[in-house]
Amino acid sequence: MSHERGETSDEALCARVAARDEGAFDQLVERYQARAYRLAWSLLRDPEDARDVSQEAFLRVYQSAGRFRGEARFSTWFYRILVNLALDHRRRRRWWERAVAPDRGEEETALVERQPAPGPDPGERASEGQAMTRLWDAVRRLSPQQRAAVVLSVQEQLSTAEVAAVLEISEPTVRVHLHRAVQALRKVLKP
Amino acid sequence: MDTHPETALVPFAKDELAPDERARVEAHLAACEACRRALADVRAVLVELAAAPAPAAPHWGRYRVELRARIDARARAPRWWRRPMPIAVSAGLAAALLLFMLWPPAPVEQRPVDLAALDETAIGARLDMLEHYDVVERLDLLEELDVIRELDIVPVRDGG
Repeated sequence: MSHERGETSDEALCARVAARDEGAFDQLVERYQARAYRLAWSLLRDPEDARDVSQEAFLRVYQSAGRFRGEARFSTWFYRILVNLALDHRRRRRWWERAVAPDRGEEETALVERQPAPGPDPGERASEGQAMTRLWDAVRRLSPQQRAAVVLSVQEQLSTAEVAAVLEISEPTVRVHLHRAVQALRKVLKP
Repeated sequence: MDTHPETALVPFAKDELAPDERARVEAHLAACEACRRALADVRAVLVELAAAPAPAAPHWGRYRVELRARIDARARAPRWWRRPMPIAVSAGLAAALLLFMLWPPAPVEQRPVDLAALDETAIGARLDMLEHYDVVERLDLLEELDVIRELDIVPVRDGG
């Protein structure tokens, strides 16, 4: 993340969080809350889950800031925590849905996830909803790694190298994930 | 570039390739109609995905209050080894302990008792009394039984 001149870097704030500086933690939360919530929402497509997972990610930062060694950027470290939590949350939810109601789970999940992102203008939302719904329904069917790669690369505008660092995979592997994801999504746009 | 640079098209469309790789992809695209169509599709998908409306933002003040409450709750929560054990785990452990106690013991090899060693141990335990044996010698055992019982608190007198 780039900062205005004189603004404390994320990494410096994280070091202060490790020393239990509550103000530094509040600053980090304010900097990342919107991105964290948006990323969690894109991976989970549920407002409550996004709130829960993004807050849990901040909580992990608070608890383990001392383990951040500064070898990667803070944003990479934070995204890694968040993506892992989101994918784990999704895995557990799907397992639970299958265990409790094997027939209904998939259907209900699909209904929740088919909802387009709530936009500011209801009229605009209605007109764009269908195309966006099909696209995000296809995103939902991607593998977890492909989905995370797409969201990080396209929505969060991370470079391939940054996506690789977040997902802890090689850059060529990220390229393959993105290529396959785009191929799958292209079929939705051009049936 | 002989093979189609399929996996390079997304980084190419995002303009993040290094100059040498970008030049190779551009050279290939100039000669390959299929890859130009593929690149157009990639760009269309990226535009659609990027155009996805952002989710409605929660009330950030409330969000931070909830987060602070979670942090405080987590700090107050006892560590796992201090938490009350779930009934199922407790019952399992109790059953395992009961099984262990009721399990017939493995036959133990009987060795002959070393009586000499036992005697030495017993004598060793009474060494303090032997230190004051001169007092014991001078006592009438039948009359001074109380003295013998409290031998350890009777001061030793020089010359009796």
